[in-house]
Amino acid sequence: MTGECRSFRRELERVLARAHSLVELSWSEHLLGCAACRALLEEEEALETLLGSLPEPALPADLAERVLARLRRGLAEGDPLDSVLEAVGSPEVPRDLASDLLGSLRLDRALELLPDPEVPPALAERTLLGLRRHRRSRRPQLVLAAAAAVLVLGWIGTRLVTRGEGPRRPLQQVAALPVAPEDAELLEYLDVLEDWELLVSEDLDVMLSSLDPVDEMLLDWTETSEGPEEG
Amino acid sequence: MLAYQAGDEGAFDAIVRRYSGQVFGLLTRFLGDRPGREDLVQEVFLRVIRARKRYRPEARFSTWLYRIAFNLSANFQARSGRREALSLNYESDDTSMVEPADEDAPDPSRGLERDDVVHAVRAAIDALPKNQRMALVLAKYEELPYSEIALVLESSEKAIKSLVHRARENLRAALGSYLEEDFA
Repeated sequence: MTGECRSFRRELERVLARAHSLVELSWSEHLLGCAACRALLEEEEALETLLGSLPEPALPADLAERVLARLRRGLAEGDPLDSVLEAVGSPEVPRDLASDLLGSLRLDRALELLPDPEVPPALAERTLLGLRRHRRSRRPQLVLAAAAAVLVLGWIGTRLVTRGEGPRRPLQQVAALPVAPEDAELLEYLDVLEDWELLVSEDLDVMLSSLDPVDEMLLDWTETSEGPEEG
Repeated sequence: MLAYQAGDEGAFDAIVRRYSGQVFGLLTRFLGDRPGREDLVQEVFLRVIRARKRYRPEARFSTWLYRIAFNLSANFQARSGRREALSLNYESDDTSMVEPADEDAPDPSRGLERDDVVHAVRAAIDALPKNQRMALVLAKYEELPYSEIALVLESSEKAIKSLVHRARENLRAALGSYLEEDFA
């Protein structure tokens, strides 16, 4: 196939694309010396003739009116699903959606440019240490409260022992102790402090470690006994 | 269509009156003379009603309509197994689309010969893949430029050119024996 053949075939396609008659091509000089292109043109002309031999589609009478009538009938009857879908309608797109999105994207990109904050070394350890100090700073108050309770109870116990009722074993002495209302109130405060986790077991351990044996025994009793009646 | 979109219900009637014949013709060229084409025409305009709010005048209205018709008819053909139905139609006496070659022709055998040719051409077109067939029908019978056919078939102009070229090649191969005779 020569360059002239390619040129002729391009022209052939151009004419076919525009639905023009192929007759204009039959005068091409190229065809005089090219049997292949001549045969191709003849085939295309024959094909055009064959395609043109198909009759025009016969339109049914009153097609438009019948279609309209059927559409109206169908729309009047209505499809429940259609009415629901129509009611839903098209989602309304905000007017500035695109620019808002682009703005957000730009902001995101700008935020990504910010460097990550530098975490001070050993921050966690120092934070924990600070928290421990804070807790310790509350301990003296709690220790004082507990110590006051112990002293009050100890003073009551000492008074009872010195009333001349004879020597008694410590537990017996404690069991025989009546608990004054103010002491019971103090014990309740301690319970509340413990309930609120202001007085944690660790604090109690610290306090107890500083008590003398008699006071410690007295406290044990107050924790394990509801009162002298049950002792 | 813009008037209908704006709420003018009367404009829809005008659309149907103006375009129903074109749609029916396109469906007949594409599907052959099988029953159900009128239902499809109705379906095409039902889609127009449903898509009224979404319609954008980005191309000619007829291009949009042809795209709906093409999609519907391609689905219709896929559902109904068209080839078997067509082969039956050819043997039936349904000649609603076949007009006499020449009513004044004295030789009846000439008319029969021409019917054979028409059937052969229809069969050859029917045997084309659907995209080639629609591209050929739109180019040859609707005389649409390739740029508009590309919109109907949602393809590129270059691809349409190739589709039409291959369609013609296939038709030349299928109708080889008829190409040598003179039916003009």
